[in-house]
This record gives sequence, structure tokens and C-alpha cells, in this order.
Amino acid sequence: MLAIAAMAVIACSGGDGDAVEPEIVIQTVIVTEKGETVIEKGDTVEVVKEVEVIKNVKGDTVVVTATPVLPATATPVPADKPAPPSKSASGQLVWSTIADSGIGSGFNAGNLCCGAKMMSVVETLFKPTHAGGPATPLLAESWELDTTNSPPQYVDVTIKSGIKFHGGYGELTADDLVWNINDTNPNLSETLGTGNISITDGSGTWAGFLGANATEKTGDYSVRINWESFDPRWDTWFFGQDGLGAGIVSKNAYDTEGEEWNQDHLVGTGPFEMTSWKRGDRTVFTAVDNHWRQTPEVTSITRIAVPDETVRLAQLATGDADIADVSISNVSEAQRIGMTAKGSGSARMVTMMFAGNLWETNHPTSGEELDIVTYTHDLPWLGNPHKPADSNNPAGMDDMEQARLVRQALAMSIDRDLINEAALSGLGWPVYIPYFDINNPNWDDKWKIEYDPDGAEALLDKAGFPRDSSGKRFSMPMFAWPIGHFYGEIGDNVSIFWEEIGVSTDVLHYEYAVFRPTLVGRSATQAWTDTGPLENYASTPWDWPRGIQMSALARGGKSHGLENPESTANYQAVSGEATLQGRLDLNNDYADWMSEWLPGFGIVASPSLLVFNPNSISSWDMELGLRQTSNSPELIKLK
Amino acid sequence: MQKFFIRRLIFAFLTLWSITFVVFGLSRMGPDPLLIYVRDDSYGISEETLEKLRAKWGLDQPFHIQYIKWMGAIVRGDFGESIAAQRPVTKIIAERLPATLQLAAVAWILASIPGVGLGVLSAVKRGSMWDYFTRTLALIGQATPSFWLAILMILLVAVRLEWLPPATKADSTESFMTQASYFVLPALVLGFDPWATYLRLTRSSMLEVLDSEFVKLARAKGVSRTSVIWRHALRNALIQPLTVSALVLASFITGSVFVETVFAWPGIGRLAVQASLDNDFPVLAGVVLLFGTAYVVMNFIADVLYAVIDPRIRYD
Repeated sequence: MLAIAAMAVIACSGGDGDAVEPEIVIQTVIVTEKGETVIEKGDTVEVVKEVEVIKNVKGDTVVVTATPVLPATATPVPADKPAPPSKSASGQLVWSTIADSGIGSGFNAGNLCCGAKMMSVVETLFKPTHAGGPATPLLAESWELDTTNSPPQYVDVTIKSGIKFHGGYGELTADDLVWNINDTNPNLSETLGTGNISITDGSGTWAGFLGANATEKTGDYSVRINWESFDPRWDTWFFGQDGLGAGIVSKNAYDTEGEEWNQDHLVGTGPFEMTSWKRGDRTVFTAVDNHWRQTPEVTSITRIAVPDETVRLAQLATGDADIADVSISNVSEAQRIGMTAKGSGSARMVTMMFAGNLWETNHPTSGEELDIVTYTHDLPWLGNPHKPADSNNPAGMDDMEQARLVRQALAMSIDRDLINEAALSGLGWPVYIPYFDINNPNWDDKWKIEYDPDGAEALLDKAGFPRDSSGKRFSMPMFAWPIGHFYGEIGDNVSIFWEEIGVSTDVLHYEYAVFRPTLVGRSATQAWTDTGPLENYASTPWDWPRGIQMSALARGGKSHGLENPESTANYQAVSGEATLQGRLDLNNDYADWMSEWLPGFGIVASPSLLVFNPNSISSWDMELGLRQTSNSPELIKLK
Repeated sequence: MQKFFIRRLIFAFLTLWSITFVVFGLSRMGPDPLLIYVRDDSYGISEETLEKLRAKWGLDQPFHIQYIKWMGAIVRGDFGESIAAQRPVTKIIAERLPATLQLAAVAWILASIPGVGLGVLSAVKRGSMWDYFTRTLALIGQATPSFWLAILMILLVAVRLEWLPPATKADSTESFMTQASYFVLPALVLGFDPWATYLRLTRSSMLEVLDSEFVKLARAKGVSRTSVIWRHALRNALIQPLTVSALVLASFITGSVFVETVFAWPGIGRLAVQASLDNDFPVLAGVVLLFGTAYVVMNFIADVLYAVIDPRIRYD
């Protein structure tokens, strides 16, 4: 045992060496007017990007999107020792990643998700990945929205000519585009695509957006994309490089090589070609010579799936890996061994959702009466609009108001800055209400929830939940993911503050797969830490639709586990609103409502970062990201 | 012997059948089995499409029909198609199995040879410092959690001493020595507990054999000490460790889940973990059945080996 203990001591003891100041790069973006993007100076770096826009907008239909702002809050951590020399061959990089999933198989229904686009193997119609500002063309040359209808019902897109697919599979044409987009659509993929039911990333969202409308070829390099319901996110979210999907792969490769071959290969048009793929293990991306837009400096990148984060850090420490995915809580650990932290600007807002608050009575579209099973017991944090009078409401107060006061108290009782320091090493920032990030220029401090435990206690007293003789007011369960999970740690932190105001919290740490069925079945009644859907990415533009996962529109699928008519109305209204100002006004009203009723509240935002060895990479100026931690490896500059 | 064999065979089949029933039954216990197949963001998919999916996976049929069809396919070696990869599960398992078997083989060598060797040493040097030292090592081997040992070995051997790579399996294009170096740490961790088992079993068997009359006779006849230990005693003492080897090998396959995850080893164990995270029921069912079959078959072999070697067992 002594021998093992000695091994542990040796293994865990710090190393020697000179302290080296690491580099942290997080982009800050403020867009001051349409078509212009200015990146402000963060803690350590200043980047300025100019976005070229070719866009035809006619009539009154203006569908540019508002702009996100991402702060640079990271604090550099001094390194204990210099980064090790890389063990990779010259020009090659090894990337230690969590899993190889997301690269997807070689036809569209399977490859739409993140990895293939993030690694620049496939390309989409628009770039940059930056969620806000006017979309910038990538494969698209120009486009023109329907001006005869408001909101528009289609867009005509012309793609660039002369773009070649990898592996000699010919030129990208309108035929490829039509086939890919129709295959993306779950309603058409069986008849107009690969013949498989689309189960791609966001298939339901695609189905709602496109309906059963086919994309049509209008010329050798032009198509008309018809949709069911206009969505202001059509360009950057549905057809953008960091959006839901529609990465374009070769129809010719599918037709000539067949489905089985295409399940193992990915034929795109990007600066990197996927030259080897061992599922569940590693993928090799090789640079494309003389690429049409950017020939990479790196000759190849090998992504190796390493599930354990400690091991990924070990690979960095030994020089076996040049790049690694690490969680936010381990970024400083990587910095201590000399690594550089970098992100695309993507950040996730962690929120506390009060599942079980089912306030809608009928389905928004079908009109069917909803099955509501969460009000069997009168729980303090659940407001019951279907039977607002019950035995424990204070005089003159209904159950909805009583529960609202409880949720307000719970939201006021937590010190977000302290949680940021404790769980995110100060790399994040506070979030007050779900879906709305404090760094967006549209943010209004009236939505801020001050840390006020005394005020929280007063609200709980007012709501009829005084402390009992043991100092407790009531008990509540909270689902907080498995122990060791980042959201779980946040949940633990929140529970400490709740205990302080007399709310005994039973923190439930188990697998999401166990909790999920209760969300889908709308039977969950506990609070839970959630980062939610697209809306909970901090860089989501202010004018994008919000509320689908707080709406009965999402019945049948996973949601936050709560439903209210206000979210339904907002999602539907913003989705159908053609004007930018109209969408901004609607979402501002929604933020007012959210701030007052708090079906959930915000805790902290966590920026997505990866780390790399500065002895391998001298710089990596990524495009601005929406949900991916990184992008554009073709922009990597080698040391 | 025949009766014993048939009884064990029936028991093995019943166990396997129970495994299939539990695996399939659990997958159908939720409110809507379709949720196993359809991902988080399925809202917005039309009822028509959902019905198509139900029909595609046979979820629109009664439980017993689904089970019979599923079993029929399993018997034919058809585990269905992976939801995540959209490829046949059999093909996926076939791709991943060699890595697990290779690791198991190396771990078995690293566990059995030193385990048996030290077991002999401990028995022969009974009561000496060697005996206490090896028994302490065996105790540590059986008491040390592999998750802790794995991380410790990575930190010590790979990060601090830089003797071996910390994780993953080397690409097949690398040199033999490079590929071999990637095997050492995961195989050591996987084989650490069985190594201790071998040591203890060999020691106790050797002590028993060394006390037996035929060994005394051999010594009395003037057979050399080396010959008594290695030719006469060890051959008899190895019966128990050898039969246990069947179960040890099975445990290397089923026990690979953790070691493969920590060391990023692209085998069956990691596939099982990923399938769980992906809600990929067909893959998970395939892997669980493979694990179950491995254990049942190895257990059966161990039972039969015992009976062949020791007649007292088959007459019980």
C-alpha cells in the first residue's frame, strides 16, 4: 500500500520549470450596424473581422438579424511549466476529442450535425458561423427572398460555379443542392433523397420549417428553396456553417458508390477531406490542395476520441496531443501546463427550469385538450392555473401568484458571481432569465435579478412558507445530472444557496437518460439544471424566435418540461414576423414576461473553449461561432 | 458425464434466453418505445412520419410478436441497425471486437505468467519475506479499484516518467514496437486484479500439492528440488488456475467497459458506453448479448473443465 501511496504522491506532485504566461483568446463582438462587424479588445487579444455581404433585399421584407455580443471575461492563469514539444510529425496535428460522433456518415441524413462542418469537410450556403448580422455567402453567390408574399415563402439561391467535390466526384451543381436539402427534410427524404427517413440533427425543426415543400432546381447553379413557415433564422441557422445542418455532400458519389460506401465516406467541398475514419476511434482530415477559398497550412489533423478528460489533459502534457477538448472547469488546468485556451465565441447559458408548470390547456395547433399530470400534489414552485384556489394559499393570493413568489425567491437567493468563480473559474458570466444574454446590446438591466437572500426570505414568508421550528420552509427535489457533470456541479452550488433560505433541496444526481422520459411525458415536477435548446446559446441573436421548449408545440418530444401560452405565442409571433424591429419588440416583451413569471431562471453562462499547444499552433483565428466550440481549422497557423 | 454436460448446457441456454428477455423487456417498458429511437428534438415530426418509424421498427405490433421477431433475427445473427450510425450492428461489433480480444489476450499474458510465477515463489518460500511481499501485492491487486489505478498509471508512467503513451491504440501503420507500447498500460490495469487472483490460487494450490504424499515420495526418491516444484507440483497445482482462466478471459471482455473508456481503446467496452449515451438500443442490446454469451459460454467451459479434471464434481 505504501508503494501505491508513493506512486500517487509522485504522480500528483507538481512539476518544475519556469512560469510561462499563457495566451487566452476569446472574441468579443459588437455589431453596431447592418453589415459591419467590429470585434472589441478582450483581455488579451484584439481581432477585427470584416464581413463581405452580397444580398438582395426587395420591398419591405427585411430579414437581417440582430447581433449577439460575446464578452471576453477569461482571466489568464500562470503556467507552472512550459508546454511540451509536440510529438506530431511536421505539419500534422493530433486532436484529442471527446467522441468521434458528429462526423456522421457520408450521406446527408447522417452528416448534418456538427463535426463535418466544424472540421470544414462540408460546406453550407452561408458563412460565417457567426449567428448575427447579415448572412455572408459561402457556397451561395447571391440570393433573393420572395417579395410577393409577406412573410416570404421561398428564397432563390444561386451558388458559385467551379467548386469541386473531394475525390474527383465532380463540380457542385444545383442537383447536389436540391438532393441534399430534400434529404434533410424528414417529410421528403424517403422520396426525394437517399430513401431513408431523416433522423438528422434537428429533424423535427427541419420538418416544421420546410413542411412537405420540395426544393426545386431553377438552373444549373440555382435553386428555389420553398418553406412551410418563414423563419428569420433561415440563412444562418438552417443553411449556415454553424447551424442545424445542410452541409452539402456529393450526389454523384452517392449515386456511383452506393449507400454502404457512403456510410463510411464523406465527400464534401471544404478545405479538408476526410481521408480515414475508424468509427469510435479516430478520423484523419487531410488538407485539400488549391482549395477554392482557403488552402490550409496544416497538412492533416487526426482527431482521436478520448472520452476521459484527465487522459486528454495527460496527452496534452506529454505532447501526444496538440489540441484537446476540455470542460470549462479544466481550462485553467490546461493553462497551467502551458496550453492556450481558445473559443469561437460560443457559450451556453445554464438555467434552472421548474418542470411541471404546465399552464396551457389545449394544444396550440391541433386544439386537443392536453393531458396534464403534474398537479397531483400542491408543490410550492408549481403554479396551477387550472385550479388556482387551494388550501395553502395566503389570503387574496391564488396558486399561480404563490408559486411565482416562490420561484422569484429561489432566483434571488443565489449569488451568480460566486457560482461563476466556484464552478467556472471565473470564465463565465451571470445569466438572469433564460434565453437572454446580458452581453447583448439589447439587454436591459431591468431584467437583472439581484442577489438578495433577505428579500428572498421575505417573499417566501409572504407566499405562506415560513420557517418551521427546524428552520425549514419546504423540501424540493432538483435533477442535477450525474456527479462529475458540469451542470451537476452548478446544481450543487444552487442547492447550497437554497438551503440558506430554508428550502431543503434533494439534489438528484443520475443519468439524463433516466430523467428524460419524464420530460418527454411532461410528468417531471422537479427543478433541473438545463442548457436547453438553441435559445440558450448566449450568441443567439436577439430577434430569433424563443420559447418552443416552453410550449405545448413541443409535445411529443423533449422540452424543458414546462408549458405556457406566452411562450407559444411568442415563438409563433416572432417566427412569422418579417421585420427586425417587430421581432425585437416581441422578444423584449417576452423577456419582460419571463422576468416576472420565471418559469425558469438563469444561473451562469459557460463559454465553450478548447486548448492547444502553443508549440504546435501559433494562431487560430476562428470564424465567430454560434454553438460549436471551434471551427475553420483551415485558419490554423502552425508554429 | 453426459448427464452433467446436458444439464449444464440446458442451464446455459436458459441463462441466455433470460438475458434476451430482460434486454428486450426493459427496452419496451417505457411509455412509448419509439422514444428509444427518436432523438431529443423530435417535435415537429408529423404523426405520419412517426407512424412510419413505428412500423419500420415493428413497434406497432404486440409485445410478444415483437419479441419473437427480434429473437428470430438474433438467432440469424441480425441484431438490427444502429440508430446513431445507421449501419448493421453485427458489422459494428465485428469492427470493434478484435481490439477488445487483442487487449484481453495481452492482459491475460501479463496476468497469468507473473501471477503463476509469483504464486509458486510465495508457496515455495512460505513464511519468508518473499511470501509476505507477494501476498501483500496480491491483496493490493484485489483491493485497488481499476479506475483509480488507471489514472494513477497514466499520471505516473506516461506523464511523469514519460515511459509510455498515456492512451489510445496506435494506428496499424505504426511500427510493431510503437503499437506494443500502447498495449502496456491498459493491459496492465485490466490484468491487475486477475493477476492477484492467479497468484493467490497458485499459491494455495501449490501449498496443497507440496504437502501431498507423491511430492514427499518424489523428494524421498531424490528428485531434484527444481524438478519437484516445476515438473511434479506445479503441473498438478495449475488445474485450478487453468479452469479459472475461462472466467478470467470472459471478465476481460465484459470488464473492458471501464478500461477501454479510460484508455480510449476502440473496443467493445467503449462501444457499449457510447451506445448507452446515444440511446442506441440495437447496439446496446447486441453488446449486452455478446457479454452475456461470453460469460455463459466461458462459465460452461469452466464447469466442463472442472468436471473433466476432477471426477468428484461430475458425480455430485
